[in-house]
Amino acid sequence: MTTLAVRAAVYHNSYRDSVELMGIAAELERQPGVVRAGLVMGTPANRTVLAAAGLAEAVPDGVGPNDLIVAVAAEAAEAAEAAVGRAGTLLTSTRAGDTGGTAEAEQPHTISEAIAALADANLVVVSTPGTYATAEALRALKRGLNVFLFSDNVSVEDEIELKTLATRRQLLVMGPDCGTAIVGGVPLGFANAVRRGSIGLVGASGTGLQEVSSLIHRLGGGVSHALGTGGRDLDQRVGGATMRSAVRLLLADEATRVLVIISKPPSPTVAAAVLDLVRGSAKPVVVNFLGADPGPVRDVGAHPAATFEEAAAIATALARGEALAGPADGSVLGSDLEAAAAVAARGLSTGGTAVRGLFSGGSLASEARLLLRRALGPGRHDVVLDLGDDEYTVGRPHPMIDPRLRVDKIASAAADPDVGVVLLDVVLGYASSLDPAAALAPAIREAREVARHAGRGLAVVASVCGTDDDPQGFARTSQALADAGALLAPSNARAALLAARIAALADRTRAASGSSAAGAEGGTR
Amino acid sequence: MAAMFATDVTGTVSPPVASASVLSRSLHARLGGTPLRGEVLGVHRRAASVRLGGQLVAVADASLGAMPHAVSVPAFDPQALGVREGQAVATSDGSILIGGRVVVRLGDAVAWTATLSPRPPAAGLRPRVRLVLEAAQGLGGGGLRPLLSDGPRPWPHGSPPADTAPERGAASVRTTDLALGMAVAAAGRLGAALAASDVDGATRAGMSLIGLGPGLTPSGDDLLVGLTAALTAMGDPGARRLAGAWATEAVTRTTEVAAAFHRCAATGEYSERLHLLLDAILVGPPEEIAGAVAVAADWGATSGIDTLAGVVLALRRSLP
Repeated sequence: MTTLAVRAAVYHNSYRDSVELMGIAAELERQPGVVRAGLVMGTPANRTVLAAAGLAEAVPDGVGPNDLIVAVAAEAAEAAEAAVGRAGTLLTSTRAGDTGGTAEAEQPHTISEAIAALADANLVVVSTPGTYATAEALRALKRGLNVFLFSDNVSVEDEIELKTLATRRQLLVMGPDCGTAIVGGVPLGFANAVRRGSIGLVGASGTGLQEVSSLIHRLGGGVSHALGTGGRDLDQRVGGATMRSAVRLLLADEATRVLVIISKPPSPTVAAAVLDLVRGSAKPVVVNFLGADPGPVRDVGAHPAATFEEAAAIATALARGEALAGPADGSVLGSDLEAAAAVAARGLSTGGTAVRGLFSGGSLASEARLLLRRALGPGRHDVVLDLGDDEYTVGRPHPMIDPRLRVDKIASAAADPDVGVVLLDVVLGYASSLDPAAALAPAIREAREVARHAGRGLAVVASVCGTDDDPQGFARTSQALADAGALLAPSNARAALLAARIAALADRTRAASGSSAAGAEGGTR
Repeated sequence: MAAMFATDVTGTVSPPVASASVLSRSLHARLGGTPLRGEVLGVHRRAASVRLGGQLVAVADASLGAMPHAVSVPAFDPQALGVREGQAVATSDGSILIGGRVVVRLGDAVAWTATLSPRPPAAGLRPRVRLVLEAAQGLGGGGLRPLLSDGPRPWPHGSPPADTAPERGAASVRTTDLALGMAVAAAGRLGAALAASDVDGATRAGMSLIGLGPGLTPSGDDLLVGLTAALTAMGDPGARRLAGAWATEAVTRTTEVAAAFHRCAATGEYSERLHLLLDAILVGPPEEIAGAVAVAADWGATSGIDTLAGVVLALRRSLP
């Protein structure tokens, strides 16, 4: 009796329908040289059948009921192998047929498909509605991939679950609601085109990271990585899980020589835990916990920075090994801006002096609000609006993408006799509006014209967050805004201070001349 | 960055939205409760198998009829919609989202009672069973078709044939035939045990049918589900016990898809096509039986025939 050659292949977790399976089984049995063939699900009963048919010997151990077994006995090994191969081709081709179109087939639809196409990927960007984002992020983590989780509306419980798993697997979950990161030079979400360099950033705020990284670039420095954590990471419940992982990563990263940490003030225990990680670090560390006491930062040997600009300036100097050139926290406006403030203040001799901040960046708005309050004190009508907040973005694009809401708000500010200064941020970079100045410049021009017709002055102060390598161009955008009559400041912090200085000088002039300042009631909101 | 994905900034597109038309009451309760997560296991021409909260759920074209573990969606073409194996699936706010690409809303679905209630057999059950067997003669081959033959019962003296298939000329027999031979033999033992009202014996005989045979739902599993459906419809108090025992074993001994049918059977739930078939056989106008049998047989590759074989096995008890 001739000894038959038996070969088998196993397709794990195969859910092909019976019609398909039987078609392939029938084709297998027609293959030349094939004596017996089996194409069955790997249930214990079916494995008994394969054993009875003399086909079990080639079936590996560990096959389960949801695995598809293809087993062939043939007169020669080549015939058996060819038949098993043919089954594989048929199974693959029916699957390829599933995709329903060539263009469709080229686009991966799942993390598995994407990994198949890009085997050495180590990070997944998740941007699905929040309800479903957790499942995708979990899937990525379980495959050993880091996650950039752009989605919002992820519950804090899910965030904790994701970050617990990530920590256990020594992976990073940036987010949820993470708008910005630059990983190994690759911008993710809303990020600017910045030079690569030796400064590593970790931030719980998207536009804070954008501002610091852009300023570092404009100061001649470069960024190794900028890692976002999501705004809730430093909340007591989440415990700064991602920030702590990111700090550890950057401390260990050879390309990173200086570390910058930025956040709104974290909970004290979380802040302590984060600062503890950098205590006595061999790498210089700059910390900007917006508005927080610098004492604990100094206590661990790190450099406190009061503003994003100061964080960028200190980090750039440290990266170059230069001595720190004194505070760059907005307390020093600079002579050019002082002169501009004096001129602008004279234009506000009539009408109000209240500052109306109309922001697209949440962290930039927070910084401006803080600096305005410090500079102008309470008892005024200054208002800083974060137009990217949920309150304004329901059913419409974010103002960093679509400037229309801001254009409307600028017009409203111009019509408000209380308002003397409009303060703007203009965020450039990937994913932002490709030409924000195209909409903002005419709006600024018209606003100033409306105020002038009403017999009032209106100063418009703006800062541009970005670089000349950004698609929109820093210089081009700045020039377009300046041409429209805006006063440009080199950072968000100094724009806020410039706005405050204009308002303060106008108030002072009026106090000296005895007229009342309409801005001088209420306080900064 | 709130509400950003509502824009097109990342290329995120609004997923296609489909509305489920029918949903079993028990599945409605499961899917409408705590949010569940899972993944797409398999994508077929008219259905996708997904695992949600650890259990298999089918999202199926409504033309397949209601199933206890399925969400029926009119004109559902999962492949055209881009549903792929491995995609994440989640429930929330009365919807199922598949792979971030397809939203199936459950809110408008008609709640369907998948629980099969006993249909007291109309007077003269035997003539009805004969009509079923006659109708089965006209059906095509495949699967457990031999069990539908109206000749002498394959186990005339309560002693079914042994599992002789492996001894047959090995070089000439197809693996499928081997499996079906074993299934026919096991069905013989099962029928004999039922005839003797030996529930334990029937349970044991049924165990050897679990996971046996070709297909994503092996023929043996289809037979067992058809059998317990018919016993349930005829008011047999042992039906639930058999189904429960087999469902427990099915978890580890058959495919996840087949195990889902067993799981539903254990709670007395069966597909609409079985409801319709058993209605026709037990209480409907006799002249409609042949048509109902033909429709029931036309399901999947051999699942219809195999399920019908189980129904017939139960019905034969009423014959002398």
